[in-house]
Amino acid sequence: MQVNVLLFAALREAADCDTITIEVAPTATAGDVLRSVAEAIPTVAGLIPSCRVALDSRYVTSTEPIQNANEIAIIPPVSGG
Amino acid sequence: MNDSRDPILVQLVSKGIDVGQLQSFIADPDVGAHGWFHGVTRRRTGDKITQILSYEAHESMAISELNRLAREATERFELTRLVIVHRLGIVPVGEASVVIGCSSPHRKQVFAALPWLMDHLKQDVPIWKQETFVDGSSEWVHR
Repeated sequence: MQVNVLLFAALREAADCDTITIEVAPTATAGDVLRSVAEAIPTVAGLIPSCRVALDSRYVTSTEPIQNANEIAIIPPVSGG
Repeated sequence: MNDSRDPILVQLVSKGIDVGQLQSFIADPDVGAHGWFHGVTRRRTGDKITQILSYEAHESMAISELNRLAREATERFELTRLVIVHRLGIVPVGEASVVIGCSSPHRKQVFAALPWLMDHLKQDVPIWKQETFVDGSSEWVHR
């Protein structure tokens, strides 16, 4: 299935867009999303291992299934403040 | 004085943070301490000179994470009022990117709450800064 993934900061800039569409299996997990995005944007693949995934604005672990999420976001290490 | 029932105020703003307005939010006749933290854009980091900082956020998630932190801090430190405001977009040198204000009957709670809140904000709230240096180079801060 195709899913849209929100990108921010260095990821957004590298992809030159704030949303990327990737193809994943219906059983895909948050970890699968990270792997697919690393393949789709090789210039920032090095940053992906330190990123977290948020489903519907909530951090999840890499084993969490994405199937029921309305919104998928990749959260690079944050730097507010 | 703040008579509203919700003791927490969380905001993302795109202009300078109006601290005067926030002071009245944390005022309460039963508090004995107001504590404030202002995080401001620093000009020099090592041998690099910053011209501007620019912030972006996953806004709906940032609001929800800030609210989660605010509620936890209010309970953990027995705060009477708490306000957290983060600025997005360009923040020139010397201006505040984040302001946290809290009030409590006693000073120890507000002294303890401020570093706890900033540490957790810097760890979990989806806001990112991009530094632009005077030499024209820029970089996202991801650490």
